[in-house]
Amino acid sequence: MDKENYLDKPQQWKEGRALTITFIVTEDCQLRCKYCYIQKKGNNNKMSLYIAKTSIDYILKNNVLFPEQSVIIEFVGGEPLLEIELIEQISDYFKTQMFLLDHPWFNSYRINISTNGLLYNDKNVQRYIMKNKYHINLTISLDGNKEKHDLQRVFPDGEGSYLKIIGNFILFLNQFTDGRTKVTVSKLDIPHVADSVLHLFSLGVKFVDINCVFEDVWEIKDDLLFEEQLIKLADEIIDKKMYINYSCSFFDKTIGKPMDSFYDNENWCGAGKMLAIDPRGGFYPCLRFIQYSLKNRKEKLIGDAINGINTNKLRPFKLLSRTAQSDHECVTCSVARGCAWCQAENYDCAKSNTIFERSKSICKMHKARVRANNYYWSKIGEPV
Amino acid sequence: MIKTINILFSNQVSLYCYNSNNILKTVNNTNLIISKALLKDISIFGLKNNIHLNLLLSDNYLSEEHKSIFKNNSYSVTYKLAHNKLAHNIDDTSSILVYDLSDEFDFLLSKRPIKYSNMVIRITKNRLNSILDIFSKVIEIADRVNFIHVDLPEYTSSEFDVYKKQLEQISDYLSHKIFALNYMELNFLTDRLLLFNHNNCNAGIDHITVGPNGKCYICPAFYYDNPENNFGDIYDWEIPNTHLYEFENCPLCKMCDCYQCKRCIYLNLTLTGDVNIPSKQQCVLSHIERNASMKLLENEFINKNDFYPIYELDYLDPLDLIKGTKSISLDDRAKHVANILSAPLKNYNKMDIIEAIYKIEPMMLTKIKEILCNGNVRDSNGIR
Amino acid sequence: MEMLEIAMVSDEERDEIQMLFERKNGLSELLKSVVDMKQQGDNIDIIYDKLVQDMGKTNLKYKLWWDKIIDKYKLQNYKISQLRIDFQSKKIIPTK
Repeated sequence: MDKENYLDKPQQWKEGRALTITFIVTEDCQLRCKYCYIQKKGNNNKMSLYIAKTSIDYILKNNVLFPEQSVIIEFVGGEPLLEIELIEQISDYFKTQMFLLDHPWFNSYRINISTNGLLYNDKNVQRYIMKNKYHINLTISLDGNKEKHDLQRVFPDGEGSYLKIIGNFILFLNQFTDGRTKVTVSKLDIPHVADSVLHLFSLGVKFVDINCVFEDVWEIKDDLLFEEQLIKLADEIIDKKMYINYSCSFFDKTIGKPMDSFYDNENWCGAGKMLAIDPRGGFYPCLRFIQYSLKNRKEKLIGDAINGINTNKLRPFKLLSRTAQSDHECVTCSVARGCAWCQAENYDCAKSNTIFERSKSICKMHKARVRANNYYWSKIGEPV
Repeated sequence: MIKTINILFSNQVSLYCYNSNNILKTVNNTNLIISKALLKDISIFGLKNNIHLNLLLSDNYLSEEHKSIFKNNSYSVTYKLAHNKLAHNIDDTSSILVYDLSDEFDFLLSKRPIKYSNMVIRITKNRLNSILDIFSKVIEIADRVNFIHVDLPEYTSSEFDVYKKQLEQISDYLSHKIFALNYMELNFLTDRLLLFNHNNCNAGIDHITVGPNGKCYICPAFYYDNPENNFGDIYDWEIPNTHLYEFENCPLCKMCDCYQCKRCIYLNLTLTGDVNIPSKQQCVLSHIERNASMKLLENEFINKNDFYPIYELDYLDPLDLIKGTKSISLDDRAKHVANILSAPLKNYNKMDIIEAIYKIEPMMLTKIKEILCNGNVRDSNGIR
Repeated sequence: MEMLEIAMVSDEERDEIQMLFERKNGLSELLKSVVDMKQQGDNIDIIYDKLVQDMGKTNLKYKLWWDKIIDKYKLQNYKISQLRIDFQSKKIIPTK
């Protein structure tokens, strides 16, 4: 089969070389998703415009610390659309400052928002989207079919949020034909994986970005159940030739191979190459290093909006590589490629206060994925 | 493997290494002296495990009772002397003497009639420009002089410039006076000439410290920083992620030839957050010293051929090669690092080196042949 | 779907037009922000003047690029509005 006959995974904008600046505009959210990394919600911590502006001024005036040629301005929460006015003010300030300073980013930026979708059709949200139509990328977290979505993504009273979101999600796909969603698989979700991906395809999502959580939630036989689901999904996609117009991130031609210790040694996770700013103006190597996101360890601040970045605190991140944090089994694994990790999760679970210890919770799930992936590509006619 | 245990006799033994005086506050409020029972247990532990004991004392000189406890052990003594105390009563010139640099220091030195084998002078940043002056006096009474920069975390380019100039002046001083006459050991200047591999502190690997509370610490600085931050006691201890203290797991130090650097674990942890990652200050200081050693080799009183070559570098921080203004490709970096690290092997012939490789790790030859003979290099997909 | 290509530009030509395209969109979206800021009472005169000037210059450069490409690849049968470029493949494609 020719390469053109199946939908390839979308390329990252600027091949992943843009700097991502994440503004955590609020810690509040309408939902209480069970797998959310935020340990406690419902407080009123929200970012002030002063903190946002001070951070932006610092970043734009420090070319040496931020030499990237492109930038992704990201808004997250909690639920960021709860603070759409603040987002608009921050975006306006960022854009005008980039323009006034003749910053190269003015010619190369995107705005990303990750939302639960509940406020997507709000008139202020829609106005903001239209105002930034060219530059904006939204991701609405529709977690699969109703059964799967409502297992995890619930209101404080336990009620599922699928029915409240689905209308907005359809509107989103009408406005953004390449609209994407982020699907997360935890232990309870396994039986619904195949149907969820197919459901999203049926709604019109061309590429489903889906991954297993990195936390240590997996038990014996979860990997085999997961593999069964992926095989079921593979059979559906191939037998109905859905691969021509649809793609799922679980099936990737490049995964499941050994990796060279010298040439393939980049850190998988982008922590340290991005900047997350919390409502109080604290700077973090990634939003998962904020205290509310960690169960066992102290937060990892690398600076703040007033004093700037402490470059010594960034040094470990700049020196992180695959082999520096992996044990011998992982370094020499014959199916290493595609096995991912979350740096903050590694840090939170490490035996000591370090980012150089890789969690292996996901090992069996990755191997299950590799087996299903091999099956998929062999059946398509392009064995990996 | 632990070869030495440092024993802090009391919490009144003030600091003797790379840690500023600020961290003493938490422990100095009450007087805590190590119990004799514990000393006896440590003595027995040392005898059973062939461990050398390093007794850390202040002005309370080693009593006869203590000498009797340790009479069968291999032990040495390090004295941290307060500035207003004289060292006259220390008969054993093999003891290490540690001084904080003070205005009364000059007075002390003139009183001492005999030479010590080893002195440590702790320098604060406001005394940096008197290093040459101090040095010229200290060399009259010690065979080995170590300068320790206690304010290193606060050093900026100004302090480094001052230090660099002082080293140049010390080199000039030596070339005209001492080197032609006596052999001296200077941790900041001559150590590097004689080293062919890293000679780091190795706290946590070669040695640990027992505090006066009986608990175990990586080094005394950890006790002074927070006595709760221990890893057990002499009867039951475990250092989590002990491998991260080992040199081979330090991604930056492995590509550096500042062999005289102490790779201070305490400084690493406090400044960067990880025990295996040095701060910029530590790297720059070590490189300034290394470069001063390199310049010393050009001195007419020195026979260059008696020492290992040191090559010129255009950076003071090896992180610049990876992520900074001087970042180079993987292959170029490998060539550069291999070149500087192999400088001591320059005069060995190829077969001697190959034979040594074979004796250390026979399979390494197989891997080298795979790369060089067959042109078999893994591409980015892990394919040969 | 296969794209009907009528020319393929060089990397440099693609980079140039991509930057101009991004800038054009950035300027037009910035204009909306500036109008909003004016309504909120911010003093935007300096930004507004600079913005208007830049929009003029950028649009002109944009048109000149297409004129150059039409001339170079002999596309005189097409108006600028009938052509588009795929930045990834560097192909010039006629619009419907």
